[in-house]
Formats: sequence, C-alpha cells, structure tokens
Amino acid sequence: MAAENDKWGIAHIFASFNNTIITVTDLSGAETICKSSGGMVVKQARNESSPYAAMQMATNVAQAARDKGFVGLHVKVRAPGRGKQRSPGPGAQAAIRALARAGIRIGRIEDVTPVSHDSIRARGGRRGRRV
Amino acid sequence: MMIGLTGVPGTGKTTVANILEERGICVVRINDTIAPYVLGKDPDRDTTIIDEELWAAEFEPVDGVVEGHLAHLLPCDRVVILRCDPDVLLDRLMSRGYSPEKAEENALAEALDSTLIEALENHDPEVIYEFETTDTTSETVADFVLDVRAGDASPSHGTCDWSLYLMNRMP
Ligand SMILES: Nc1ncnc2c1ncn2[C@@H]1O[C@H](COP(=O)(O)OP(=O)(O)O)[C@@H](O)[C@H]1O
Ligand SMILES: [Mg+2]
Repeated sequence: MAAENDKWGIAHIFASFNNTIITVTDLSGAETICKSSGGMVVKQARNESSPYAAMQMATNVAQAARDKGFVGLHVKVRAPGRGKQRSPGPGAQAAIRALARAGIRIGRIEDVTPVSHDSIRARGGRRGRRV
Repeated sequence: MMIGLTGVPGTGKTTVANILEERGICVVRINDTIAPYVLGKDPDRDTTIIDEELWAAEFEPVDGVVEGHLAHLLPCDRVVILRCDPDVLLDRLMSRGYSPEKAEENALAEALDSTLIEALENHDPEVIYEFETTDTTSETVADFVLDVRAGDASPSHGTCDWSLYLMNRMP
C-alpha cells in the first residue's frame, strides 16, 4: 500500500476575461510544481481564456504533476462572475474537468474569488455558483 | 437615461462623479441608497454587506449617472466601467488607508476583470463602455461619460489585460 506516499497538491486556477492561468503547488502553497497560462497553449490572444485553452493547460499541468508523483489535487478557483448563464471567463470549469479526465484525483474545490468592496459589498456572487 | 458608473474601488468613480455634478449632471451615489438593504457586517473585510438583489430590484431609475462599484448590477441603460492598472490601484488604495489585505483583494478583483464579467452577465455588450483610466485625467473620463450619454461613444470591452499582474502573484 503506497497510500501514505501518495502526494497531494493544490491547483490554483485564475480565470479572467482574457486569460486562464493554472499553477500547481505543494500543499503548503510555497513550492510551485508547474505553471501554465493561456498564452502557452493557443496562438491567438483572443483564445487565451477559452475553455479549449483551459483544457489544454489542465492536461499539460496534470501530466507534469503526475511526473512529479502527485496523485491528487485540491483546487482553489478565482473566477469572477455570479454563475449566471451568460458567464464569461469560462476557463475554470473546463480546467477542473480536464484535470479529472487526465487521471488526477480531485479533492476539495474551494472558491476563493476576490470580491470588490469599499464600505459596502454585495451579499450574492457565490450563491448557486457551479465551479 | 440612466448611466451606471462602475469599477473596482479606487478606479476614480467618485472623482469623476464630482466633476459631472459640477457640470450639472444629476448624480446618485449608490452608498446613499443602500441603507434599507443592509444585512450586516463583514468584519474580516471591514465592510457592510447589502442585499444587492433586492436593492437592484427596488431601485428607482434616475435620469443621470449612478455612481458606485455595484452600479453595473442596476438596470442601467448604459454602463461605463472604469479600469486601472492593478499595481497603480494597489498604491491608491493603500494611500487611502485600506489594510494591505483589503487593497490586495480589490486589486486582484480588478486584475481578474470582475466588474466587467459581472456587467456582461447583466447587460448586453452593446451598452457596455470600458475605459482605461490609469494615465488619464478624471476630466477626460468625465468627458467620456458625457459622450456615452450623448451617444457619441462606441461600446467596447475586453481590451484591458492585466495577466502580468496575475502571473507575478501566482503561487
Ligand atoms: N484619473 C486619475 N488619475 C490619478 N489618480 C486618480 C484618478 N482618479 C482618481 N484618482 C485618485 O484615486 C483615488 C480614488 O479615487 P476615487 O474617485 O475615490 O475612486 P472610487 O470612487 O472609484 O473608489 C483618489 O485618491 C483619487 O484622487
Ligand atoms: Mg467612491
């Protein structure tokens, strides 16, 4: 049984309107295992935030993480939007699905999207979100 | 016509709104309209939480400019989104006296295009006017808002790309 040797890390997914960026770190978040951004997998800037780019990135990142002995990843997503139908910045969901499809076990999925705020902030934003 | 003037805190909305007011435009500040919708405090963020859905549903439309970082959630006829380089925004928010955590969360929201993405969920792209203000005076931004109001500006979005800020802050 190699269970206690099974290494877990964290996939940090940043999905903006123009780009998706994925970094895998160890569990402490201090050591970066691998990194990918939309610009590394698609030729045209306007495709950098596409679900296709996110899938390509996630596949590459999964391979690199597995090569370094990682079997599973917890996910921390930063993807603005309120999960409505017309949500732009579609990279995050596609990335998580592609990680799983590439044979990575997916642990906790945490939404750590920043919210803009001064003296007030909106309540919603996270309700009903699918990540 | 109701124009929403939105953007992450620190992008210059209030400064622009003051100029518009001096020029005789009716300006409503969202912070003056939220009192009935307060739900409680978020002590971690040093902020008050509001029920923005009810607030937006009950908002009486005005003929003028509605200014505030949630204005894009209102049923505006046109939405102007102010953008600013997140590194510059961080400096502005720190000198405003925000804690580093508060300044950084807002700068990251700006870097992730959060206002634009929420605006696109609520509005047709044809009514969205993004404006990069980093090296622009507030007078020029006010001129732009008046152009939008008069129908003399073209809608556009998606030209601000703060990926570098994100890359530099990825773990
Ligand atoms: N176009 C600009 N160029 C330089 N500094 C600006 C500009 N607009 C605003 N500022 C400065 O940035 C800070 C935040 O501006 P403010 O209008 O209060 O933003 P907001 O209402 O969007 O939070 C203020 O110190 C202001 O003087
Ligand atoms: Mg203000």
